[in-house]
Amino acid sequence: MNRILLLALLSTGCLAASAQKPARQEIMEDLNRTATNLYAYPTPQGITYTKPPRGYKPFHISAYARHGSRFHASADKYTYPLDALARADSAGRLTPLGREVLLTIDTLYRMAHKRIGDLTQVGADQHRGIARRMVRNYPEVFRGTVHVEARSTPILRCVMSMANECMELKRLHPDMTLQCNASHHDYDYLNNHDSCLAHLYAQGQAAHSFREYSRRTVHPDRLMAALFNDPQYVSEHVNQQELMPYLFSMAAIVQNLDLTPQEADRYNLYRIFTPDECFDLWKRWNYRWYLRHAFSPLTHNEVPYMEAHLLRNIILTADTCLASGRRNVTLRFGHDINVMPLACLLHLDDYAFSSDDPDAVAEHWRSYKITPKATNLQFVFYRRKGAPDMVKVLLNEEEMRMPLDSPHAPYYYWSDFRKYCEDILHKADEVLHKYQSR
Amino acid sequence: MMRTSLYIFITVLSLSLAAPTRATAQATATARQEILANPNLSGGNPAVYPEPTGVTYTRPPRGYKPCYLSAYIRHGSRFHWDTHGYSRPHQTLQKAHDADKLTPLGQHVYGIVDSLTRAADRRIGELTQIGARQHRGIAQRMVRNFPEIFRADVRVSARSSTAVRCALSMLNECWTIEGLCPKAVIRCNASEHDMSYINYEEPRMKAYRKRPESRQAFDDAYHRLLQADRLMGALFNDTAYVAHHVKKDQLFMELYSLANHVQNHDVYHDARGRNPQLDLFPIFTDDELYDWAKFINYYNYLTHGYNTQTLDKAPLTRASLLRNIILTADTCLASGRRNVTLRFGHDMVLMPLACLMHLGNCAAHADSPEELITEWRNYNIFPMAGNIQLVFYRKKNAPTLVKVMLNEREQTLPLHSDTAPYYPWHEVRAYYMGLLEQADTE
Repeated sequence: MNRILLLALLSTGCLAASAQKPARQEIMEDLNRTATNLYAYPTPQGITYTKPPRGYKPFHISAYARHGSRFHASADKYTYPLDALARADSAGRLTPLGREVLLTIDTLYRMAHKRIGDLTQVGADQHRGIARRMVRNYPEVFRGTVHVEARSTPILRCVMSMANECMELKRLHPDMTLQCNASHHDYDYLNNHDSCLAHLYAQGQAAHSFREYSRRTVHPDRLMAALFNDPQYVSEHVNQQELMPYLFSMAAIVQNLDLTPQEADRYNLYRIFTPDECFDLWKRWNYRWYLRHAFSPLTHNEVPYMEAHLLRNIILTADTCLASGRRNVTLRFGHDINVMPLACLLHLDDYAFSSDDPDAVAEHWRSYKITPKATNLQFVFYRRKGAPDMVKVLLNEEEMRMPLDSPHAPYYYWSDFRKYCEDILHKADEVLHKYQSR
Repeated sequence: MMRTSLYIFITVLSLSLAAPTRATAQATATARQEILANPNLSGGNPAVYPEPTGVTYTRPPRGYKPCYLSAYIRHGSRFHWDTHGYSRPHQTLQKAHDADKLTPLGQHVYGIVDSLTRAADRRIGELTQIGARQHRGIAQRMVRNFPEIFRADVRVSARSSTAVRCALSMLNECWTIEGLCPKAVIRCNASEHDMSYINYEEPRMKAYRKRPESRQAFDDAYHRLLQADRLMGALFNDTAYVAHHVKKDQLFMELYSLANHVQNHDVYHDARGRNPQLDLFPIFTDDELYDWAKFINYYNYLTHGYNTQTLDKAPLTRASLLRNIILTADTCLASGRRNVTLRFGHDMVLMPLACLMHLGNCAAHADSPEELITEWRNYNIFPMAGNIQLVFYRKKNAPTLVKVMLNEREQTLPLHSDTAPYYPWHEVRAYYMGLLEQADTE
């Protein structure tokens, strides 16, 4: 007991320490973090896991994983900055640096030719890594004829993510049985876009707050002067407020491509931004994701309830798998826009943080921690003969704590956790009913 | 008149030598006998994959070992690809049901169509578990039959069409290979980037299908072989209602198509792959079943085969795929290591490729549906999970050989070889490059 308490204290201490590190410091340690949801999956390193209570063994895993690293998912991410710079180049209005940037973006666009939204090999490797660690960390689950049931949205980058995870599992444990599918039939819980809650961010106070914050954080004058040789051309022909975030987004995508270190260095576009600009642009981008998917007073603290259907599927599928008496693994593959609200909805770690102060959001709620590429939630179930089942929740393979009493946190009694989720779902029903009846 | 009768003779001969059980059946059974014994064959491309049970393989010449495998594989069993395939006959029958115009048989058929439509809800075109199993089987046999290729460091490069059923077909083959050969290095992708060879029709060649001769042959066969009146009389109790409210030819074709698709649904199957409760074949007479099978076969031939109506251009629509197969083989053979190239796509690509490659009797010509089906049968070419595999064999200081299989059955090529079905790759390559040059100079 003392040992567990000590471990719990230590691990709480670690969480606190990481939460206390200022956002700016964390970002300056690795500028790729400014990519928010384009941040390539950080392979877990040096993580120590809390030992389960004595006698408990893992026997079931249920997961939701976002697709891995990909090319930009819409062509305009490439064509907007490309066209803006190409037009200026034709008019002779680019500086030597501007022409270098044009060349880099042209190259990146050619790489993406007919590959818009496709998973890259970097992304494929992320999923193989996740599968490998799953098998290594829970060998008790991957024994004998464990059955793996995988479902993906029909978006090909998700299907290919599932393919890579399943192939790796099969390689490591050939005896398992495996069934996978990518069907519109499973879309209801894998990626439900219908919710009215998904649009709250674009209305009223939330939209206003984002516009204001954009004005405070996007300062394009210096960059434009570095890229263009004619301020009058810029003021007449360039939408600076738009171009700067587009260029920043191009800088962010590079880490997801299949490049040699030399190529990655050559195409590094972060170098055209100052550290202050990077931090400011990240804060803006981070705030946008926050408003879209997290608990915010500006969206009535209701948005995360849009993932109720996914949470319900996780609970009901677990009910079936726990009752089956055999070892099962349930894998789901989808999108960041599902993981983000669900992580908030479950109050994992500090992700239910609610504030109308964007700078405070940056200190508490960092999108690169919640939805990097291949971000994933894993629910690992533990069993001991004659004792109640327990569950542990991991976000990106890190143990998560929730506002739920447990003498063994991050291990929670399944019955307590289930009740906790049921209460969330009751609340979700109320929220959704309110909007549907409007 | 069969121009390639010699090749057919050789094929039949080699099949009967190589695979006595099946070949005997094939050589002796007429198409009519085959189809009436197994109506699941009647639609052609909805036929489930014919597992190669009892097929034996010719031993390679002494000292030769397989070193590279290259394949084009159609997705496995799926739901009907077109939502109208279910919804249109459903609506027709539902309206007649509501107007009390269905006979008891019509009611029974409506019930079956309703069940199939519900089963396919939000699963249009999706791979079924039957389809997934077909690919696992193909992969298992690949590894089992060519263990010399699937050794420790083999590199498997898999590419799929962007249709999800193809990607899932690829997934099932790849994870099966990974389980059987854990040290294989497998990379797969499903990208628009590869569609230029996985599913691309050369527009200049495609245009030949619009020749009036092609249209005429189609129309003649259609009007002669589609007789929907008897069936309408059996399903509806009011001829005036049928005349005013039912597109009878369309309904005939839709029900025929659905009858053929049942075998691909994951529902209870009897030993012949049919679910008695969902069986729609009994509503057709033997003549109706066989006549329409002949039409579909002829239609496939006019669209994809070597026929005079399209001036023998139809197979060249898939020239880019054959070129990709040849150039990728060049790279893989030169690499000096073991490689496997898998491509996952569609029936409408597999069939013209089989014709273009002159596999067995696939390049045959015929003047009528009746003559065609005696030798050229669509269900032997592009069933669900239908596939063409080129297996390359190497021996030190000797020319590389290639063997081509269609649906895991060895094929002859129109080239002389003392070691058929093993052919010198440089000769096969030169032959195919000659065909591709024809397309280029057109």
